[in-house]
Amino acid sequence: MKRLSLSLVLMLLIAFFCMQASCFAEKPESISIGVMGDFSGPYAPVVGPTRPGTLDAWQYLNKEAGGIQGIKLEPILKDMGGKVDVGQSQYNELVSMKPKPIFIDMYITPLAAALRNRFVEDNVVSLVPGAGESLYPVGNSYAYYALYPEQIGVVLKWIKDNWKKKENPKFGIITWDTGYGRAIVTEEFYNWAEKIGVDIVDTQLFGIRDVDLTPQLMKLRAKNPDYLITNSTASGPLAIKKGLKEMGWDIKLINTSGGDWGTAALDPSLFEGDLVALHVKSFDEVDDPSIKTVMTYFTANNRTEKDKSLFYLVGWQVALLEHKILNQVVKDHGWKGLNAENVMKELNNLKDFAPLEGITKMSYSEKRRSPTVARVYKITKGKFLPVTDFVETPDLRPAKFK
Amino acid sequence: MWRPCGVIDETYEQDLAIVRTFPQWTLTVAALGALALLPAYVSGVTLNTVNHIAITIVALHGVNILTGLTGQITLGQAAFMAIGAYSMEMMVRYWGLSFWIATPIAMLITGVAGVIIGLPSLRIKGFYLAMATLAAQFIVPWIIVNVRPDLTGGTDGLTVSPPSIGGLQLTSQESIFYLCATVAVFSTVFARNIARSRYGRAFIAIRDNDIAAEIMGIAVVRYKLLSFFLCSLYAGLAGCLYAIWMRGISVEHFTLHESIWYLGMLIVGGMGSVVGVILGAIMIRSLTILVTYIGPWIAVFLPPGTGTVLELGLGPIVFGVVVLAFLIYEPHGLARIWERFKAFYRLWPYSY
Amino acid sequence: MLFLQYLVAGVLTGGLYGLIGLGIVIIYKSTKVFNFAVGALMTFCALVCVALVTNVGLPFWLALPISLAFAAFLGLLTERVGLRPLLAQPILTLIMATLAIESILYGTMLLFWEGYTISFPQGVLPGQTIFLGPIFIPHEFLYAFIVATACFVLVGVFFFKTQMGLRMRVTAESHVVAMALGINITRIFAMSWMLATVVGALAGIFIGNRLGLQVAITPSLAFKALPAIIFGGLDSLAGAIIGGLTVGILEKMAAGYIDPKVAEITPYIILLLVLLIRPQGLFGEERIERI
Repeated sequence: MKRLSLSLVLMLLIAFFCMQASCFAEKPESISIGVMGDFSGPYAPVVGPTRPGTLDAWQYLNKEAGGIQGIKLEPILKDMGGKVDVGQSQYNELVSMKPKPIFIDMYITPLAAALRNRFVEDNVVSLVPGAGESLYPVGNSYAYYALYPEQIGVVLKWIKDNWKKKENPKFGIITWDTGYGRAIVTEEFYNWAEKIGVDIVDTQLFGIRDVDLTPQLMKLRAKNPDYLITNSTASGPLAIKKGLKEMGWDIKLINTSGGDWGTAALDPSLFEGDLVALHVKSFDEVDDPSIKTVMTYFTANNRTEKDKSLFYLVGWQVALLEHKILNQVVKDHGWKGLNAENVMKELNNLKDFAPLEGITKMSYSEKRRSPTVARVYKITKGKFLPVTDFVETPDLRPAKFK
Repeated sequence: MWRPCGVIDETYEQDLAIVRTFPQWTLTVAALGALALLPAYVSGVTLNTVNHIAITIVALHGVNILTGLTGQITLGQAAFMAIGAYSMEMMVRYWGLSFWIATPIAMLITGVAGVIIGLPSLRIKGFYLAMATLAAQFIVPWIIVNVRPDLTGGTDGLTVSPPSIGGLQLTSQESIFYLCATVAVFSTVFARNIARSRYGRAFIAIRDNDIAAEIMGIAVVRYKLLSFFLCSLYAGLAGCLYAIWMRGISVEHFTLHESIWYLGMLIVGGMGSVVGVILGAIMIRSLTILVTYIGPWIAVFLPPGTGTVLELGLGPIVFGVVVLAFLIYEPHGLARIWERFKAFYRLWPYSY
Repeated sequence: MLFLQYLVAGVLTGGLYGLIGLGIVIIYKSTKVFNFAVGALMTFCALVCVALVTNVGLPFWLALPISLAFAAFLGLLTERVGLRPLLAQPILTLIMATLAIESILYGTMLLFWEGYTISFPQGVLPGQTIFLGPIFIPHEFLYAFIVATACFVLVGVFFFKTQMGLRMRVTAESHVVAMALGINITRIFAMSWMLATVVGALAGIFIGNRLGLQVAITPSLAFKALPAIIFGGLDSLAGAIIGGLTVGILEKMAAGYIDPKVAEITPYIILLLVLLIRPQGLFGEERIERI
């Protein structure tokens, strides 16, 4: 019965979609892309710069890449202000638009996780953060960067490869007690670490609102790790590093996307020598052609120093990806074939897509819905300097969804 | 209970009726009819907000019974909703129960949890009790996240599969609307009846002075706990509806901020009044959505640089100003405005 | 040794909680209003302080008094615009008004600072960690603790030794009695809002120096002080500080000896137990009820 009703609903949806598709089989006037995020709430320090990033990228794509066969692309920005119910309503507004946007970018994990099934039902493709629960089991969601444990994995592998001493390198985890922070504390991650021969000696959690981390840091120091690992951003790494400095413990911190330029700019001297895994090129590689293009728009639109962060580049990356996919689908199937199925087919076959002369690399497949590269950066004199090129991340998907 | 001049009850049934006169009946039927036809003339987006308002009304009736009638301030309604939503989804997921069976059980579980949290109310009063319920707001999410993360999904939360009725899955906003609206209407009738029953009068006596109530022979302990039970029952029901409306739950949906605003909606609407509950929920929920349009709308008329900033900040400012202005204009809530309006049109065109 | 270190950390963080709590208690004591806007107010003032240091370029010791003066003004404004028109209305309506004010302040902060984390330039608080044998005392927290103690003493002297303080205490006792004695209670309300906002601003500046300031996250830090003030009693100044210290120590002990995961809820569990034994908090005034 359940399967029957499900297939019935699916058939209805498909029929509905076909009706919709025939409505705009002609060239549309513009193609809209839904961009949803928490641009003013608690996640804003991280994802806030996506707004300018997205706007600048679409400006570039419409101006220099000619949109999609001359049709302009229009991002529709929605700020949910940290309120999930407002976000849900904005999502409904986006999917009831005509023509419906095929891509909906989510810069907010709880909402992306809650709406995972809705993406499938509403026939939209969503780009979500690299947290496992918003991706798996696979639906219509794709991550814009590798899963958080996979990003850490790249750094761990690099340290292990350059490890001179006889005994295994030792790591302590200190991370936020939230869905985001705990995303790296997975069984797969621990097993993999054991397999490549690094020791995770201790795991400590701390709250977003903790001002002092003495007990956690004391416990970690007792285990004597060589590096600390965290998956937190803005105030999180700041509190850790301040605590470390105060107790006179000189140890380097490893962070994922959360440890980007925005976080390091809070107090550059504290983050000196830390390792960060990011999936894009660095703002500090000023001679790189891709960064040059980005920076032209950055300065032309009077973006401030605060916008210089990872999610500004993520805004670019997502826009470039969507442009490429939409262009390809329209080329292969015509305007009639511009639907979620074809878009997903195209995405699943994407291999090593390196837009803008290689600002990042993206590959997706049917089963693996997150890009598989990251780069290790070392913060030297406040600059993010790469110590590796883009390297393949380990595959740390939740085991049951492999 | 006030009634229009010249309406005289002749039987006990008439005296007990909520809907008394012919015009009232006409209006009630018309309003229910309009509600039933609502999906036909509003868009899916509006309907989505209407659904959220309906869910809020259900939860708010609970707050009203506890805070408005019994006078026990609660800051934990969202936590109770979380208990309801999680227990429903977990029963559906792991025991394979259907939504229709799981919901009443989830409501009962929430009710029992509410009684436990309500135990301190036997000794604590006023704002101190609010803080005790606030403790629930911190402890409940903690339990959900930490005790059995394998079952509750930990911080990741759970996705909720839509319930089905006779082979039809409730996925569209229309179908959810009919469910939520029906539940909201019935819970309104139930809340209205509670208020004028023996229980309701006992609640009010406790609110006005619990020592006096005890002297008059009201079992204060029993009624306080009953009030907590009823409040949580409503919260559990609202939580279940929220889960299928949102299609996914995690602790980040049931925040302290939500709980505080449940109390806020009640105050804006009017304490202890069923009309107030409905008006308060409608006002705050729709205002929250409406202000998100104000920023982008105004930003169009401004130079590009300032526009983006205004887009973010203007919403909360307008929201706060409107709420504050309403409070200053009518400190007793929207329900009082409604009362005044009723008195006005009954007497019109005479002044008294 | 570990115990001593946890104790030091607990006492120092507790001082910060006590400082926030003091701001809430001052308002509750004289107006019976629970101020939900306390977090937004303290964040706003701290952000102004950062702006004075980074954007205007003032030295910190000059920016601090200016931002405190701003805090006093902001407190006055809040009282005058938001709460004065609601004088003599039900208490819950006034509490609701503070919620509305919180929303207005949040929006205003977004206009100026958007959603980014704003941090103080490094080293605005001079000095470095003090090591006492194996025990370390972070100087930033030490400053906060000293300021909290100083605030507590000053507010205490103000309340118990001055004419104005006497008036405030009478107002706290009963608004009607105060008015009958010829006390201008609206002035008392304005005074207590100013005082409370200044105390809150100090807390905000220390927090901002520690974690950076963000318009949506920093205000929620004020909720950490809630168990502290309930613990000590909503209307007791000494209770706020002692409650703050107790909660701080409990939190660090729980994090140290049990699990950091339980640190955040331990104060609440203890709070429930305390409330069951002493419903008015440890130092709260016991009200004799009459019919």
